[in-house]
Amino acid sequence: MMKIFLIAMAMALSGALLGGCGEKESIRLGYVGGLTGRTADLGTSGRNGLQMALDQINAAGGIKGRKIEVIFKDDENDPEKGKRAVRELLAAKVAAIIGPVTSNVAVAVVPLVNEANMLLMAGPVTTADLAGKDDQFFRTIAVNTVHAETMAGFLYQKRGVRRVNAAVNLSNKAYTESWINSFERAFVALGGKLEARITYVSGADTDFADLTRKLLVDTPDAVVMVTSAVDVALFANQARLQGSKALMVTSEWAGTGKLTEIGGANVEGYIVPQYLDPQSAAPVFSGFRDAYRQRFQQDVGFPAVVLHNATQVVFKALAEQQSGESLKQTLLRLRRFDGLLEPIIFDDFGDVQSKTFLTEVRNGQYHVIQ
Amino acid sequence: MGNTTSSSDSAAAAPPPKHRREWPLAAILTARFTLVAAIPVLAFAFALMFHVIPSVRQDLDANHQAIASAVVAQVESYFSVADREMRTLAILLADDTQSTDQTTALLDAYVHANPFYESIYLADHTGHVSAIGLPLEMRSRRSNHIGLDVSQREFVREARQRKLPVWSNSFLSPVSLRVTIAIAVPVGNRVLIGEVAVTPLPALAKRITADLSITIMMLDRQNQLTAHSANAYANQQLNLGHLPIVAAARTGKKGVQTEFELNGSTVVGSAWPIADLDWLVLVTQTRELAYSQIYATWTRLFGVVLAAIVAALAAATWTSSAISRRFRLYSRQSQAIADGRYDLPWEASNTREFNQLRDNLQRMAVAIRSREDAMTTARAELQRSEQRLLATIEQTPNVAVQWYDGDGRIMMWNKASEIVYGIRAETAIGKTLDELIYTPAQCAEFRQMLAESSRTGPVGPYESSFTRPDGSQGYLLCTTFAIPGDAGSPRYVCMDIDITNQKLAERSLLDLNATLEERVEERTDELTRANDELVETLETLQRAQQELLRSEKLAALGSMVAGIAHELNTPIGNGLMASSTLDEHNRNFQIEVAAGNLRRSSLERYVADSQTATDILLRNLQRASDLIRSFKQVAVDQTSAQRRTFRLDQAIDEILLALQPTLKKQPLTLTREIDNEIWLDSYPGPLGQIITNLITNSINHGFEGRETGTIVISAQRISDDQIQLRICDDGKGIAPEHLNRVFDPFFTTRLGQGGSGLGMNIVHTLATQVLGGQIRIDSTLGAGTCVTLDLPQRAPESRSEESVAF
Repeated sequence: MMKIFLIAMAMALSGALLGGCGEKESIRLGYVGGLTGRTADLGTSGRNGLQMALDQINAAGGIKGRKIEVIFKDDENDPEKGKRAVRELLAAKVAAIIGPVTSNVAVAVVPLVNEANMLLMAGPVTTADLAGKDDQFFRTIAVNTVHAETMAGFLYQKRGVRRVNAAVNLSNKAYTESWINSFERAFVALGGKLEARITYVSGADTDFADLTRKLLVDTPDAVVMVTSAVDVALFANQARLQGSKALMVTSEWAGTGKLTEIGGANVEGYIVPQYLDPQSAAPVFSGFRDAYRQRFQQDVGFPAVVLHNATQVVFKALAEQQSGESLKQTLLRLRRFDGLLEPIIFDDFGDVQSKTFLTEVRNGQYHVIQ
Repeated sequence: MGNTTSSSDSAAAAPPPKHRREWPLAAILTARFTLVAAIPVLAFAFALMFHVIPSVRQDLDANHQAIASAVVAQVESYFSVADREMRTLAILLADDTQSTDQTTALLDAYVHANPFYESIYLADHTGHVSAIGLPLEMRSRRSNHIGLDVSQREFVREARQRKLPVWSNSFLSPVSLRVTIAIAVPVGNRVLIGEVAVTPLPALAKRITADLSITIMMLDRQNQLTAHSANAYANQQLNLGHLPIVAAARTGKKGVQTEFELNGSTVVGSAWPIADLDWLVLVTQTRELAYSQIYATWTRLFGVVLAAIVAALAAATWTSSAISRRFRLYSRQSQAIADGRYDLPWEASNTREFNQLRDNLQRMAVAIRSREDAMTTARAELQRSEQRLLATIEQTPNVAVQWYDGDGRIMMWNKASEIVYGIRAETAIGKTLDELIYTPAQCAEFRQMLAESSRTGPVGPYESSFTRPDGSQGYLLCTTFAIPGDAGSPRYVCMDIDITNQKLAERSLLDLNATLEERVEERTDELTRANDELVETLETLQRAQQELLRSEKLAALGSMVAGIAHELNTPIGNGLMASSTLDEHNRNFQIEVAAGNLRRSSLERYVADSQTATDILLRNLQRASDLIRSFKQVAVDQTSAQRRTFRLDQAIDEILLALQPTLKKQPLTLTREIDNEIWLDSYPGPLGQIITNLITNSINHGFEGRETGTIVISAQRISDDQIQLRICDDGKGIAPEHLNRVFDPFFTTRLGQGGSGLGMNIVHTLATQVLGGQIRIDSTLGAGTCVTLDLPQRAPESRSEESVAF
């Protein structure tokens, strides 16, 4: 009795002297994305989208009275660094991991999260390699097969393209190969032909002049560049210098603000597929777009939208999680979530269906043409 | 019976004290000692908080400001170098005479000579890169960059328009693929652009302060994190525009020390503008490190407090346990007293108060003991008293007494209740009345009344009805009141008297009342009829009475005629005999004369015998004449009721003479004691009838069956105009029960033996109404009867013919 009393006294006094600490422990989440380097536009934009959701939920008091804290990790679009980042996040006992933003990293880290039973709510990861698997990997946009097939159909039917050359950036192989394979399958099926597939690994010593020459061999009807925005801008410059008349086409990867910023006039008329309609007047989306501009002083890009959606899905799942239930179970129980533009409806494998918007660059802006 | 002890308990059980958390004395004392020990330390802590800490904060402010100023100066000078050099280069290129190769060589040389630049390139009038100077290792890929369109870049457009050098924001350079800032300097219609690495900036900042706890961050115009002294988040294009401190600095509030959240930790920092670039320098320090001195002080202070408290606790524990041991001892002793053990040894203490407490406890033990004894006696008495009371209640006849608890449940049911309700006590106890005799509604009403009685005092007496188990209806007169029960719960008493019979009687009375009028009418009719009959009967009776009176008079007349005849018979018989003797003597004398043998002796005997016969004859005739005159007088008096003035003695003599024949039959002695000088002006007839009737009554009743008797007739004057006449006999007297009725008409003890029952009534009527006097009769059974008449000397005048008849 006396001992307990003494301890209580000591604790009360120390509490009085040092000040109380009564706040509930925050919920920790992890973020993995390329924040630096050539593909940093995906990672930073995605992080900004996440940040918007984070600021909003914490301003509203968090989830179940607990603040949300996010640990940001930079994978530099490097699978090894991505794995390291995920291990660190697992060690930090986060509730879920949001990201990564590239398929390459995603393919590398999914085994880790599956092993740890850690939910991985990916960003714009569209590789078909991860589709249709009952695992911890979830995404809020459709697998890129859909997008590549849409592009193939558009080129063949709307623009009369029959012969195509392609540049494929292998530094994000999981995405790019998946994309070009789907494209080729669809295009060939339609009757077209992928004549040259120029593969390269993007880096400081990449010779874009040379690559462009190869790409323009036999003057194809169209050139498809399955690579990042910066690379497309550099291709575009060379293509102009080399007097290309081919229809220039990219994959969704390039559809960020960086393309028009660096490409400038060189990318005018380029056909860029998008996961979303950047000009949409949907009120929720336009509100988000304005807030984003206010906060980050730049235009919102698809990575920000995708990551914002992904983050909101995780928040919702955390809020609705019942005791004894894993987040994955919660997601599969709820299935349907609100997105900025379209509702997100998960299938049994954590995949969703989403639209493809084909845009054309006009005066430095993306305009939806299909 | 078990509830009786509760009365004393409940009296003692006042509302229980509000429960409060209890602490041992040692703990309380220890806490208070500790509090005392802590007070000076706390005072010191407050001094620290309000005096020392603000000054520490000021130092921190000054320190941060110095660092920020230095960083600002460094960065400004860093970029001013670029600014100056690029202007110079622009002047060199201004004449536009060199070939592209020459320009490239010049730019290469510049970049190579100065690692400050990441690349320098010249955009032609269309905005496409026409020449680019690169560091040695990047020159092989020069072609990648030639022809890039920079015309859309904000800062390039601005430089062209303003014809002035313009710094860019930080951006991801497609040349270096790093976050870069660039300066655009117009060269005629071309633009010279120099990309300057931001990578040296952290090192630059680090030079300013050796304090690793201080973080210096540089934010570009978009508030994007461009440089970080610890190289964290480098190149991640992190936008910190949301921080309030940044927003504040943008609106001109520079250098305000603020606490804010950054990457999950609380930091203290201030923001300072770099005017030329429109950048911000953010100097921050984690709160823990910034206030490390304060925290250290607090820690030490806490140590001191802790030590003081431990010391205080030790001292306090020792002291208070000593005190509390003593209290525990006395507490045990008190407990022992409470348990009834009074003879415990008491140890002495060196504390006066404890000794006083010990003495008082001892005294208390003694007092309790004596009180306990008294209480035991009192309780026994109380129990007996209660037994008596309960037995009385139990055995009370006719009054049914019950006790009920607060729920109307029966607790007691006496014998009378068993009888009245027809329910055994064993059945009733513990039940409510609706289980026995009442309907639920009645029972609810009953309960409400119970509750009311505890508020307003006794209820009743009131009437109530109930149904017995055999179905018959019963009525009660009840009184209900509350008495104290166990533990404050009310108990109620009901006392009932069975009034079923009264009730039923009342009912029938009511019925009776309802038919009364009818019955009264019926009776009235009957009475009227009876009355008529009576009137008729009365008339018949009166007629009969008159008949009787007439026959009485005739009878009296008859007996009088017989008396007269008898009286006259003697003198007349004597006279007849004397005259017949004389006649014989005459005849003999005549024969002798004729025969002439007359001798002298014969003549002389003849003369003597004639004289004797004449004397007898005279005397008897005189006698008869007297008698007739007397009879005549009586008859006149009787028949005419003639008023006259007469002497009482003579009148009585005449009456007695008339009664002679009757009196002669009886061997009685009649004595007259009458004054000579009493004259009356009255009615001698009625008076004679009164005396006759009274003497006849004495003979017929008083001397019935006797050989002898005496009647005394006396009269004397009792006042100037009043005389008293008494006729007394020594007969057998009149029974007292008959005495009152003697004067009633038709009252007779000789009914059927010739008595008419009217004699005394006539006496009374004549005495009072004719003679105007009063009559009374006194009699002693076996000793005689005396009738007293008080008569006026002058009878009243007013008389009618009819009344005279009586």
